[in-house]
Amino acid sequence: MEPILHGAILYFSLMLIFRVAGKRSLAQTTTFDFVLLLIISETVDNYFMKQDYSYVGVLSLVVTLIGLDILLSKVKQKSPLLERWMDDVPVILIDQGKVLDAHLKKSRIDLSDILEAARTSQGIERLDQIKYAILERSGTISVVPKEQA
Amino acid sequence: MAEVKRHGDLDIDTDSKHSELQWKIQHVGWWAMFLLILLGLLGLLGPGFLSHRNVQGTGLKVQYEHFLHLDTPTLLEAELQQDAEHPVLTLAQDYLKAFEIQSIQPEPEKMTIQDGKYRVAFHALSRGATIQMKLIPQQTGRVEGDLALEPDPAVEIRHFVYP
Repeated sequence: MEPILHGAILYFSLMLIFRVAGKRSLAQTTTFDFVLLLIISETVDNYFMKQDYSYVGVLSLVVTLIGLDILLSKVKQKSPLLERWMDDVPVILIDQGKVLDAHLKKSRIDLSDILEAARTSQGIERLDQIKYAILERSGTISVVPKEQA
Repeated sequence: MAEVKRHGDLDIDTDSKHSELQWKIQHVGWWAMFLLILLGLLGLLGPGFLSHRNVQGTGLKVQYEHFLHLDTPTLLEAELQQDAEHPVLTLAQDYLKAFEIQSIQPEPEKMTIQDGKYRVAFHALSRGATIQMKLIPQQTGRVEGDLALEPDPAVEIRHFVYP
């Protein structure tokens, strides 16, 4: 029973922490973020397993984590409200060419992030060529260029 | 088919009210995280500055941590304030039910249980000698007990064990 309870408690605790941290925190994974993730996984592993390294212990833990994930994805399909709270909504950063500074600030994004996304995804050279920039639910920035005259 | 909202030329399920509310909640969450870090640094979530206890008894000076973590070893140190030919340390049995004793240094001569007390007898120890007990908390919440060097009065020990 312990691995199942520990699995459920940590699943929801981590979900809360990562939602509070915001989608920008670990979405754009830098080398250090990657190391941070490894450390988090190692730390969590210590709590998860305690002294139970048995096959059944590991199996019940993995099944609990994946099971909860499946269950919540099903619940999210039924409840758009829950989906919003768990997965967030996209945030418009540039609207019809107008930079929405308040959204950038609150999303902890600066123009150079948008320009980087614009260059890498669309080959855009300048800010005035961007029609829309959106911070997606996944934490990536998608860019829609202005139509060429 | 699920309805998709339109914003300008974009079909996008954005919701600025939701985002605003969420940013506010996130800010509260960040403060909560900082508070947690601060409490941890101060030693209110585990061993640290405000958790450290130094209790002076008649025959013993006891040092221990008040805030402990479940299943995580902690050290309880009792320093003798006088020479003792046959020192006997007594601990409440209820207190030790909350812990697993990992080790006692120096090696006890004899351990017995009498009248609800653990009696740990040692070979002769001189003033200033420190008896170290490595304990592993086995239950969460408040744990109270007392420690005495016979025949002196007991020193009270209080812990709070976090899950």
